[in-house]
Amino acid sequence: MDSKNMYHKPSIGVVGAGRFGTAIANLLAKKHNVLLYARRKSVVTTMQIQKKSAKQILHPNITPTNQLSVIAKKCETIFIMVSATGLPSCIQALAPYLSPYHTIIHGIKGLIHAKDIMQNDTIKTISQIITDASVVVKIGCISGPNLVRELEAKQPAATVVASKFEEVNKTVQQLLRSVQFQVYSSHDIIGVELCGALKNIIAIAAGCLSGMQYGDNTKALLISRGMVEMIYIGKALGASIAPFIGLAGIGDLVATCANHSSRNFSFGYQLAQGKAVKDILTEIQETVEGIHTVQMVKKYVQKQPIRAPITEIVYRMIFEQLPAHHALHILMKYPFHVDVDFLQ
Amino acid sequence: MSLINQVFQSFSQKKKQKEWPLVKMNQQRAAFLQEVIQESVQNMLTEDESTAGLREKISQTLYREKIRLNKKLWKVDTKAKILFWQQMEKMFHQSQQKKNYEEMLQKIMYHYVYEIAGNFRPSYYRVAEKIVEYGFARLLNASQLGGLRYLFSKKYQLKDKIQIIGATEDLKKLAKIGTIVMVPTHFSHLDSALIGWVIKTLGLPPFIYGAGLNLFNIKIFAYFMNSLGVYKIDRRKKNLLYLTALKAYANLTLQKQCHSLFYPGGTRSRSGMLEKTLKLGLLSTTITAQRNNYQKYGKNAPKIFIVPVVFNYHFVLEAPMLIQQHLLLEGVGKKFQEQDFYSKSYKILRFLGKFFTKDSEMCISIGHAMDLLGNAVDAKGNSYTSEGKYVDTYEYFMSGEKNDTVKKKEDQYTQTMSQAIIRAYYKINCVFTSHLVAFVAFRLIKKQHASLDFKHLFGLSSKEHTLDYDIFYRQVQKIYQKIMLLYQSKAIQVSPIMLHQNMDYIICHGLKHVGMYHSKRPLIKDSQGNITTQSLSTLYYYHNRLMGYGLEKYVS
Repeated sequence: MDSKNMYHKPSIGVVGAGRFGTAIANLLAKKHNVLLYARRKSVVTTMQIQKKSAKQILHPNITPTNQLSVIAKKCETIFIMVSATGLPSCIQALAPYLSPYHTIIHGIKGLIHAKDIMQNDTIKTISQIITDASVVVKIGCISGPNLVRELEAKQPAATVVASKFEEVNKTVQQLLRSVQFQVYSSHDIIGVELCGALKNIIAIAAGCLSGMQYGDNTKALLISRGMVEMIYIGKALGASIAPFIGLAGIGDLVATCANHSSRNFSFGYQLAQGKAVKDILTEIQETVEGIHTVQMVKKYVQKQPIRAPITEIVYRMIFEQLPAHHALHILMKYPFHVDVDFLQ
Repeated sequence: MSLINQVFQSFSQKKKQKEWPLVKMNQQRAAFLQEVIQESVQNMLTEDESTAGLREKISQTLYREKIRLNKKLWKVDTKAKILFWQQMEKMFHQSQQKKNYEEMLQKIMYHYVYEIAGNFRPSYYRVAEKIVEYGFARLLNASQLGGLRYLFSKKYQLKDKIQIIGATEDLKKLAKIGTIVMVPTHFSHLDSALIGWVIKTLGLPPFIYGAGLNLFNIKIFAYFMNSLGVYKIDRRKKNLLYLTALKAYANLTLQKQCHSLFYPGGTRSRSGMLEKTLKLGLLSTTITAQRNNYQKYGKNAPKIFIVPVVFNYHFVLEAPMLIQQHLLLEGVGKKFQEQDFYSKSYKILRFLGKFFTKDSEMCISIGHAMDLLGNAVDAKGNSYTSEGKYVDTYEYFMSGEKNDTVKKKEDQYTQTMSQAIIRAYYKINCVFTSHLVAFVAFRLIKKQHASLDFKHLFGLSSKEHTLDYDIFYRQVQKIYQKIMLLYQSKAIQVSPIMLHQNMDYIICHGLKHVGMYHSKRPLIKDSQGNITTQSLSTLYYYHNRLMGYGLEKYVS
């Protein structure tokens, strides 16, 4: 649609002008005016001059801004596409401008550390943090195998939108669906959020296997056991099984575990080759969500009656310098006898 | 007080009463009930307009009613009612066209709505008020001071025995500008009498509330409740037509701005735990009523406020029976003969006598008023987030969505509200000394027999439940400290004794008061000074009151 004919359409806000945020803004801009928020004024100025963000050409319907108040005022629907670590400060800054009529969709594949009433460590999903921090009730998330490089190349892909509100699911489907991009819906938002976050741990492990030059048999073993582990952790955190066996679960897991440009995979790959964590992070230069997730999940499962050997081993590799070969040896000796029993 | 003053006060009280929404609604009772019938019929027809759909719903209702009437009947199941259903069945077999089914629907809804409806009479209300206020106070004085000659003493008042804590001042103000929906926890049949006293004591106008139809089997209850704005809920009826009529009644009374009371747990807590899941059916009527209000009157429509209430007792008369029912459901207990402690009027009076003669106490915690999405509300009825940001609740309801998603959205709102209510219950729950000792004792017994499952644990003899006093003392001390941490972070309330007395006194008080009138005491000190129980299941009931805070992991 020509941008000149769209002035009367409500704008859609995108908070976070990273790679994924920019890719989503471009998808949305096909049908709507989009306000793309970046925290730093200099980034906004660069976007305005170069018409580019995160190395992607910006659609003409995108207007960069660094004012959250403008986003909240002009947009009923806002996509939050920042990192999990950046979310608390982001939502704190945005919350004063939000009203009950707003709809917030996030695309963050991470978890947040929190405390329960007895001051014990616990985990919250991104939607729970947004609910706690704002008056917005219509909250959704998008998750799935959405590798930015392929989205940029306009290759066919799909995502899952999840919200307890049917209205939110329908809105996102209308906004994002196109010939190249399919949007499935789910009502288990916690489950879909957990799929996106937990798969990062398995992706690090998959990277390790590739770093050790193992083949597809080993990777298939990891993916299937990883899937089982994700489901156990997800169930303990209140999710149903369904999202895990859908696009946001197994779909995203397979895509990430096969993708060498994925940050989590790449991190695991280099870790297995003996590089120090600090050096790898300096080289990647972006947030590796899996590192924070593995820390939180490891603490959580310790207090739960569930076993999560892959999580524990990945944790030890990152934080206790456990060598990759030793880690694999421990996993292969792990006394699992039943393939799958969670579906009973 | 001079006679003129008394006459003036009585006159102004009657004038005030005329302005009560409940009185106003009752003055046009027939028209109001007609409105409820029409709303119920309309709701049924909107859901499925087809003849087959309507036929199916009526057929299901008739079938369920037939089954119900073939079971043991209650006193309230009069011959006229049985005859009505026989006539309906006959009519159903003769019907073929949609208009026949619509006519049947009208008749069934009429039948249900008149069965549900209460009939508020201010004169009865005043009598009931006086009975509760003076009757209980007389009983209290006679028992506390030692005999009938003190029957008319004014030394003790009910307020000495029953404490009301929480945001009561705001509640009074809010009752004048909006509609209050009280949502108490439900542990005992006594709750309804107590909440009536609370409403009177706080100077609030009368509330309308739903009571189980079984309570109307008891004459003393039926007499007053029929005239107190109480509407009847028959839990045996689960058919769609009945539930629709019930919801329409609740919804329209809220729209008429009648303050209401729901027990969102649905029934008395069998386990003794604070409710963790709520029945959403009646709660959802508040959301519908608020939306209707906004649609009718716009942004400045009267608001509905939710006020959570928690009853705190040392003693629940029905505890042994309730916990047996709970254990049976859990597959642990054995079948037993159910006793209805409130089956006869004299039993109720006997219990009240017991309550006043023994040194027991009660506390009713009133929570902060919330809007329907769980935001805090100030005395002016404005909603605020926990960060203090003003919230325009109109925007929750009027954000221009399409009709097909409204119901789903409002179902989600009801879920959000129920979670906010549960959180509030845990926050305003007031810990008594008896709760503390029961909690620690049961956890220690469970720990002593860690290898046993529940079934075997409850099968042990009382000798195997004995706890060393010193160990018990230390653990109580430990849990007490954890509870005080919760209290400091405003996650729980504690009784004044917990706050101001030393540990010896707290334990002694707790042991004395926990389930004090039960023939088998949940906790006693044995001849060696150790702690034991005469009824592990009753102890389990009182222990459950502190579940949900994660305290159990600190008992080691």
